[in-house]
Amino acid sequence: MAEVHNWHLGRKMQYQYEAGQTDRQFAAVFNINRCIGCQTCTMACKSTWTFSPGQELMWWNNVETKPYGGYPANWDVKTLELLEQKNPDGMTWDGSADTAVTAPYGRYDGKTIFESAPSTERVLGYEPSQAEWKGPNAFEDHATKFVKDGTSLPEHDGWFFYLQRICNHCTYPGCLAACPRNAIYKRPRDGIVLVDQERCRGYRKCVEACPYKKTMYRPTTDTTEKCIACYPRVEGTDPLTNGQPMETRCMTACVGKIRMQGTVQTNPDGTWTKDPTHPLYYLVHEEKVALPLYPQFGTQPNVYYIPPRWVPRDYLHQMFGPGADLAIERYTRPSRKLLAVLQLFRTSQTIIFRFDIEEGPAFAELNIGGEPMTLYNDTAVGFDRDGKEIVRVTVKEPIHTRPAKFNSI
Amino acid sequence: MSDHAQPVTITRKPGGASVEAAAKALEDDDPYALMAMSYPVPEGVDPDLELARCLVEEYALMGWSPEQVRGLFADPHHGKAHEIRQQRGAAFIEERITEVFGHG
Repeated sequence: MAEVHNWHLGRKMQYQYEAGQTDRQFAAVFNINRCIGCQTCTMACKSTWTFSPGQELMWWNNVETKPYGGYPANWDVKTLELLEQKNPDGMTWDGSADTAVTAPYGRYDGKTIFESAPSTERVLGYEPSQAEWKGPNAFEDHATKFVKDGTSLPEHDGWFFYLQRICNHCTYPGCLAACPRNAIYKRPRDGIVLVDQERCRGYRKCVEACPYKKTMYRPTTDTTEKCIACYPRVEGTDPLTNGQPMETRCMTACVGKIRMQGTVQTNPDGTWTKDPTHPLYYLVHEEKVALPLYPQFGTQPNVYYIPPRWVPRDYLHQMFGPGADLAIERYTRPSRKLLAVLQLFRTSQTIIFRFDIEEGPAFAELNIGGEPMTLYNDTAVGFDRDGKEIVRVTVKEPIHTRPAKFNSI
Repeated sequence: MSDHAQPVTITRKPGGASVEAAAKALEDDDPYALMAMSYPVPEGVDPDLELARCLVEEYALMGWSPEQVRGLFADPHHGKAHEIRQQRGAAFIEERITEVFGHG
């Protein structure tokens, strides 16, 4: 075992291998608040990568309804239970969150899935049954109405939200650590985690080890497959963008404009190189509105979420760690700059490497959270890898209403 | 079958409608049956109020006008927003809009 630094945990931790430097790291931010659960991302991925025999139960991208749902069923509850058994009441943080990029959420005092693995295993985990992979998001918006004692359950009168999930292309992947064949590797150029299909022998240790359950066994090839982050697009080999890195299929298909994806520059210790003009760095480290999913697992996942503002905080603390309060506070009453950056979500298929804000006039006076707030019609400008402008959007979006007499419903 | 499961007669005629899944009794050994996890609303929280306020603020921050936001709640195609308006009344929605946009 090696000692590596996990900045989500604010401390060093034990991992199977030494940390490897990547030139850049694939990363994304999903704004849960704006997801409508349309599954367009899911189908974009499915129709591109997993439509063949043996892949029927394989959904590299899925959207599940929390708190009831999950794909595979109860994946997070089961992993949390395993961690709890090994570490009773131990999933706690020391409350020392500060501005340091090495420990923005404070220090995690509990054990990770690596540190609590049984002596015969490299990672704490479980392999879902085949039944648990079936029916993703089926009936999840409306719980079964009956339980054993006949109690009538609430039908989400309180709250629910959609959780969008792909492989997190973790900095310290559980799947990679567990593979007895060294068939899983993390690309130095962009940190994308891939399975070498020639080396894989289908032992499924990765399926057991990935806490997010995003490695999936394919019986027709007897190998594991997983999200490949649409790497030809991220490499810029898709002709549509003339050699410029391009966002993945699931990102570009997003109807609700909730996703932004890119690659960030990283330091040797896995932290992000300071770059306040990069939209992902800005959202994660400057504004701190986007948080990792279950950071206590210890894999340092690279998909970040703007938490849903209407959900009870203790639930969010468990799911996103101690940064949830600040994230919601800042998202609910966004700074002038943040409001403009949020407009950049899903405005370009080409990956945005840098943004700029051009100030505009005030156009509305609101009361947000009981406090007065002025809205400015600023313009957010996005630039590609070579510094060329690729998108320009204003805070106040133009709205065109189709005249009723021209075939409108 | 659980003790509480009610016998259901399911008839499927060619081309006919099948029994709605939600109307069928729960079977404990059904692998597809969801194990519902109750996560209560905290005491003192009015979820309709929270969600309506959230919706009004989200759209206001995107530059929508009060009229446009009002139309959102009035439109049955926007399911949850419309449901809140139906359950709590137009005045309830109007209060939320006034909170955010003022009386101007």
